[in-house]
Amino acid sequence: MIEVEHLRKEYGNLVAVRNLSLTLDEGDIFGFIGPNGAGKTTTLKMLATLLLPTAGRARIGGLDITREPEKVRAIIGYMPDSFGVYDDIKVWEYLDFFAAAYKIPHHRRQRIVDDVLELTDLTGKKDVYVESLSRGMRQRLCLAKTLVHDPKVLLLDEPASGLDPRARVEIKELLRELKRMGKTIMVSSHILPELADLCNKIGIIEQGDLIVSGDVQAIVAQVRGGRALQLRAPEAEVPRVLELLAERSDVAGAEAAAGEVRLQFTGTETEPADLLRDLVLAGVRVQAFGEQETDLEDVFMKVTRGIVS
Amino acid sequence: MARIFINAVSRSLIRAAGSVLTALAAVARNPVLGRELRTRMRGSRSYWLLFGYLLVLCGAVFLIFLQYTHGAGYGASSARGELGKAIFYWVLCFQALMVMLVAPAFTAGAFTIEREQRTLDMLATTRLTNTEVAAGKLLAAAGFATILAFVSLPLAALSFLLGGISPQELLGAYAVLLGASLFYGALGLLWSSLARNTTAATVGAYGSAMIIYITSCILSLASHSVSRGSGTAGPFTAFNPLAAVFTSGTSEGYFGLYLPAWMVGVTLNLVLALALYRSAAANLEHFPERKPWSPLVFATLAWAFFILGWHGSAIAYELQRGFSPSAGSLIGQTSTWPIRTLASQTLLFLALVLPMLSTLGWSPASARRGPIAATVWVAVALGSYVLALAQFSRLHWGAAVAGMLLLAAVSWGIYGVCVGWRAILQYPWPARVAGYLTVTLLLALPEALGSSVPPEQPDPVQQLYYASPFFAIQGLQAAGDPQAPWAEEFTQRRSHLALTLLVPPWGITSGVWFLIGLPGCLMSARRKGERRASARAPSSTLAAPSLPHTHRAEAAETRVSAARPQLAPEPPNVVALSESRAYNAAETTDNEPPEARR
Repeated sequence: MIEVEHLRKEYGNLVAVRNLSLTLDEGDIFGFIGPNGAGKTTTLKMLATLLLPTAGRARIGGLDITREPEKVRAIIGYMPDSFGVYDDIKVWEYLDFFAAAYKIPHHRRQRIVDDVLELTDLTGKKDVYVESLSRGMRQRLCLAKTLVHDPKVLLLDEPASGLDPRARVEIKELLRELKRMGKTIMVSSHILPELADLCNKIGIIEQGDLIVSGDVQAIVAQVRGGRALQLRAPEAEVPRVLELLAERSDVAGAEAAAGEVRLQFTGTETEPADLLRDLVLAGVRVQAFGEQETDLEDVFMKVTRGIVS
Repeated sequence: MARIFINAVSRSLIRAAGSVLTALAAVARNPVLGRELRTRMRGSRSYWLLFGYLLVLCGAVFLIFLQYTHGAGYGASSARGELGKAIFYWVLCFQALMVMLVAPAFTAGAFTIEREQRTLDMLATTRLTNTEVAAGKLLAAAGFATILAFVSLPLAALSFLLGGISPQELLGAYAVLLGASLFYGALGLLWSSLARNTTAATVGAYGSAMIIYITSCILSLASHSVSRGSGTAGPFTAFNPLAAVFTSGTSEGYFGLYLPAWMVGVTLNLVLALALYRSAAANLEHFPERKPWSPLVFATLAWAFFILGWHGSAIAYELQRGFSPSAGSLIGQTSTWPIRTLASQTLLFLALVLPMLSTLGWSPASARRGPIAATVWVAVALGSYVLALAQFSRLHWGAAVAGMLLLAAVSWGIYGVCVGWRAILQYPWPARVAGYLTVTLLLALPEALGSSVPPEQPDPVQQLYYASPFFAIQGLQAAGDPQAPWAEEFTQRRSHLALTLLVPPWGITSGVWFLIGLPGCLMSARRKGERRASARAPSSTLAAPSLPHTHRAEAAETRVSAARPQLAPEPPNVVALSESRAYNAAETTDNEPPEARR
């Protein structure tokens, strides 16, 4: 759905994006992670046909973004990182305006506006003036605006930034809903956990370089050199657990913190069960055992440290 | 046969009507227009504005009324006519001033406010084209100006009641008012598309609007009062809405055709508004190489109007000379020394426009744009010069063509100087400033130095004269017209070099200017070659091994594992990485400054 090849953008002497390549299939949710100023917004703007790449090419749905920007615009929905709303305009008028701007005929707009309002849970605010909405609602309204023309691809730049936790969860729910609808989504964030459980692919960008990209699990596994497991045992038995783990050949490393033990497991898919069995047989009262949650923060720190030093 | 012809004509007429209707429907459906009108009329602000506007107008009319009714002799029909006229003039003059004050204010923020409130990006990713967005903004502003004009109609109609004003005058003045509101609105729109913020756009819009308004008003009124006796006014007296109040009843002659002044004024306003609006829409374009040629179109139109307006009456006179010897020429200078006047004016125009055009864009993507623009411009300017000149001097085709060659050589020289500066200085604006300074010096210095020496005295400084194109132009005129007052001086001055080389002075001057332009052009060509080479470099040196698209998942895997050296930071990889960085830095240092500010 999205193919990017050696994309590059320079602003004078500053290289904002350097040789960026990635491929997304239909239905992928791609999390675009990086610190502020890493080039996320520039990349998304280039894909949204708002900036001309200095070199390289990118195609969305098979359409070249520089050769056929008009056609590209029809199939993408772009949500900028900071955006404003017009004054003196009601919520439904705002959406109707954008629907008209996407050349949707008048008789179909009414239903589409109602649909996207319902999807974004704003139906009750239909006749309210836009400037009276809270920030979270505006964010949802902007997302509703990007959906009026039913785009196949969504380019969302920091959709959850500056929101309170509740609004953040709501936006995430909304993204999940869109994922179920089969949209290809590229979502950027500088906060990692925000994207961890949402995306099936991630890319980490730093100083214009896409230093890692691909499947979330694959990246985590590769960076860690194995799978991350986590177990809880009574405080008194933790040293014993560590001892037992240190003897095993399929555990690369383990550390304890507040009654929890985190370990890197290098064995195959089914072998964690063996590990659990061995621990229990050794007399450890295991209270919880499972795969550690994908902690992208760790991955990010590991990956980015390499390039800075 | 006749039926086929009639069928074809009627079919094409129907098709034309259909396309006009489609365009109108598209305008009516323009979402930007709809939103602007809707939000502008929302709330009480607009109504208060209209109320205040009418209040001031009514007050003025009332005062005039009082003044006239208290004067002596009120009641006679002639006095009432006077009152009617006074009311008409006051109401319309006030509105003509308001057009200049209101129209730019409404459009100066059109894009800058969207940029400031960060809605322009969202608008740009919709399927609306730039021209649609710009048209919506302009028509919304013009719509409000129309409302302002309409609410004053009852007051202006008072003058009908009292007499003294013809319906044509009233309609003409109102038509110019609406045309001018579009023109000044488009001016604000252009500034809005250029400026970074609303304050700058407003200042620029008002500044330029004021300059245009005041100059056009003074010129039109002066031309109108001069021509009052002769019956034929100068060109474009009704361009300015304030002047149109007084001139809308008169007529102007163009190429022997007499048109009502207001009609010409409306047309000129509309054409200029169209050009400005197209330029504004072009400035919104994100991709430089997709930019339409509107600035060039605008420059060409300006040139065409310059030729028509300045020389229109004289050209008409020349055309008419065969039929009616009694018609007088209004602009005697042009028809007396046409070669000198036209060639010098064309030269000055080229000197003004070429440095701007030749320094346009220089990124690898837009490398060809500047030179092409400059070439087309030169062709247009020189072509119209030759046409006009052939018209004036009839038999002097030789002088006209020689003048064209001379001007072409000078254009080449100006172009070379400017692209040379561009190659040295890299940034467009310093190059433009340097280009203008150099060109001014090159044009003015030889003439100034040469004339410091009296013509009889043989002095090597006199040879500098050959570098001055104005001198060569004088020579061309003298060759065609030995009665020219400077012909004798010219013959004395040219006697040194031209006689020994057996080349006419314009030939020497052309050669000099060709040489002036040469180094700059060579330098720029070399630099462009380097630039192309370096533009190709990064993709080839940094290219990762190409991956088969059929196995995308695999490709992603390989990319993660293979192309990321820092995951397993071995020394050689790190070195390679930092090397490629250093390479990038070196390569980008001489790159273009950011042209896109959005």
